[in-house]
Amino acid sequence: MNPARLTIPPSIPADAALLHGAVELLGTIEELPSDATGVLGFGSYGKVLVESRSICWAVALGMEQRLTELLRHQRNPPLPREFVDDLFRECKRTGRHLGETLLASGEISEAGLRTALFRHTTEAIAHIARSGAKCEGFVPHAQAGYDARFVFTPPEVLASIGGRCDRALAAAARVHLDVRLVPDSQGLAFIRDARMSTPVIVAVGAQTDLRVAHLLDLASWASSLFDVADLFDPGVRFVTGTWRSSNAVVAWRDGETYYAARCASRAAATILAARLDEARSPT
Amino acid sequence: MSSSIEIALIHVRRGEILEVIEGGGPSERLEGFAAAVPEIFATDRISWELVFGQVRPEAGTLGLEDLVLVSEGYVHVAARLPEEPLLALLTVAPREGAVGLILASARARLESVREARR
Repeated sequence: MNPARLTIPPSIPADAALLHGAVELLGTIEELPSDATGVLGFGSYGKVLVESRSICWAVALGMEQRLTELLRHQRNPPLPREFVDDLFRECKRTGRHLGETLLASGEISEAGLRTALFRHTTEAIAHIARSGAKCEGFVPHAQAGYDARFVFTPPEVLASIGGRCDRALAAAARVHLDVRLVPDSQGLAFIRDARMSTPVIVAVGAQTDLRVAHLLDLASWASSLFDVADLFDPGVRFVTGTWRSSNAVVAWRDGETYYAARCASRAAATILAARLDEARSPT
Repeated sequence: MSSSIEIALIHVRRGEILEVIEGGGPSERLEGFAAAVPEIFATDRISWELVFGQVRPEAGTLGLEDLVLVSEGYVHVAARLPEEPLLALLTVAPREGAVGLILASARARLESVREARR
């Protein structure tokens, strides 16, 4: 871990109002036509640029210097402020894309740029969500073709906001999903917090195509299922449910973290369950 | 393992044990599992068609068919009878063997119950 990055504190803690607002905002993005490109406006509170239901950029009131700071801290020691400010000015003057210019400078890596843009986008959406600002409409525009490396899905933004409840737990949950999920499965990790009305999503598996509403449905189902299972066996670790359509859901828990995965076939669910069983079996 | 396995036919909506097929009188564990089944199979609060829709949109009518719950000590299986979805076969088995073997045994028993009820 780059110690310089730790100097940036979490600017917005996750609470019930923030998560509720974020779910609503991200749900609005997912309900746009699949090929829509444009801007969701939230009055003076901010705006979100969207392409094909992915988030390309977001900005909120009071975040003028935030991207500069995030970019500077992708290096240790941090890049000089003047360097980043000069690049911004150059991009404004020449019309060149900021990301391309930064990468061309060699002072920031692709991963570092993605991290900074993701954090900025997530924080902006969190600010807008917490403000309670209502979406004032979607203004389509013709410009498309944002760099796919630097756009973000609503589920990953929601998980990033939820992960602020416990960053270490969220990071561990991401690794856990990467290791456990099998082909044809899409999964998420969540925690339960008595102060929240719904499960708090803290991580999603790579390449998930589940919508935010469906992630919450899966988490709620798994949550209720473990509550009921606790009545006759508090030691239940994992559950596999198979539907008549051959789709399946696997839910499991590890300490405070709960997981759920939608599987496209019985085979995928069987393999995932076997992995979970092996992981806890004595060797 | 087979001596301590319990199998029973229950009513899915009422959670009532209709017949104990294997094992002695129903244990507290089996009764607790049966009582939880109406809640476990109550899947109508969620739009599963939408959750699964992107994967298999041609699936048609959805319904939870079976559920397997695994703990360190036990495996619980609830499997609906396809021809009589208001009935389910419950299996409670100690985890003395591989989960796969317990599931295979539960499925075999489900088939024999289906056959007997035809």
